[in-house]
Amino acid sequence: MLGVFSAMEVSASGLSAERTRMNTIASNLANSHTTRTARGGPYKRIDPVFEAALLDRTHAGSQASGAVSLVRVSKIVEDSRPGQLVYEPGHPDANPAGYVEYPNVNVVEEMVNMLTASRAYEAGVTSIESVKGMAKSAIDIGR
Amino acid sequence: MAVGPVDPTAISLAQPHAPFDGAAPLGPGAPFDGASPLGPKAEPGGFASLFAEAVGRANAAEHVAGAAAQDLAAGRTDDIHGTMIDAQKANIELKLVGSVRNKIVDAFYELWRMSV
Amino acid sequence: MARGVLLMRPVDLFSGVAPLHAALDYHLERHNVLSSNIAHVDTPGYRPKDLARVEEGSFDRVLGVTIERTSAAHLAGGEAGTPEVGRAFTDATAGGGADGNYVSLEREAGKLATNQIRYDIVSVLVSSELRGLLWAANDGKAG
Repeated sequence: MLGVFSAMEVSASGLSAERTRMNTIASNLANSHTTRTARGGPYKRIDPVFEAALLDRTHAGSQASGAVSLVRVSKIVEDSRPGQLVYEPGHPDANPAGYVEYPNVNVVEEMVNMLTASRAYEAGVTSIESVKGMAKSAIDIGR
Repeated sequence: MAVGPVDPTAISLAQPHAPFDGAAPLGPGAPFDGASPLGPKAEPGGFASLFAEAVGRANAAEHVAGAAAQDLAAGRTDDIHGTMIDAQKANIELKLVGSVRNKIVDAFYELWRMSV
Repeated sequence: MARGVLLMRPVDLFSGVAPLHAALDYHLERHNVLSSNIAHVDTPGYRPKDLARVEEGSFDRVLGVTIERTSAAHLAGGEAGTPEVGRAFTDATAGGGADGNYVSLEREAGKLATNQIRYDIVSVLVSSELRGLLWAANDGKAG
């Protein structure tokens, strides 16, 4: 049934998803100047894609069960936008015209994403604290 | 709390010493059954039937509360507030049985004093 | 005193508790829905959902609470404490992000906070109701 623990599961899935997002941002920032990857070209920034997933408990008779779902990272997609071309003829990764393609990582964009991810993370924590408070109230019934 | 006036015709408890057994009825058409040792004759509205009802309800409430508590402890349910409410209801029903028992005993002694 | 209490049918004895119990159920379910909204703040295409109270004594009551999808506009009627919203169904039109996500974190967090407060209040109310009944059942003495 939908209760305290299902709510915590839902919030926890949100926290997990946002943490995955933080990891992708960290990877993007760390590799913002990686001009050569194992595949050959420069590093391309990555993004997680989230989707809704059903709770795996049985919620027979719960009307709200259709409105509640877990978050799941369905895939990590690569941003295929071309990176910035910089004229550096001496660079080992320069193309025949002398340009080096840098990763398509925009540091400002990544920082903004990091802020929204951490806000979302905090909101999830607040949600868990809130339901913990409710559980405490319930335990105090009749005490 | 003072014991209210007792209606003798409503008392149908079996007395262990059966002081009223075979004696003159306590009141007009007294349905008192002092000769039955097996237990109170449950007369609708009488203390005995009320007592039986209270015991029945307390029993049922205990079952519900016990099952709910076990479900919560075993993780079969998330229902914290429901379980706590059921537990309190069972507690209340139990206390009711105790209070009714006390009232019946008080009523008996009131009668007992009256007859001597 | 006890006889008076006994003469009430059992359903009458706890009749004050039932609506409070129902309110606790409603607020806990609603917390699940709001937590889900918060967890899905970054899920593409996700629209926030909410739970509306059901009209007392209506047919809806048998089905339980209804689900209401809300817009980014001001708070839904159920939240403001008005008990009857029935099957109202507002769809989001404004406030959508580029990825089709309509969740506003502040709005959901605000609803979450007030929902928790209401749950806590009702739980205190049910506690005192039960304590009063215990006092009565115990013939005027403390349980």
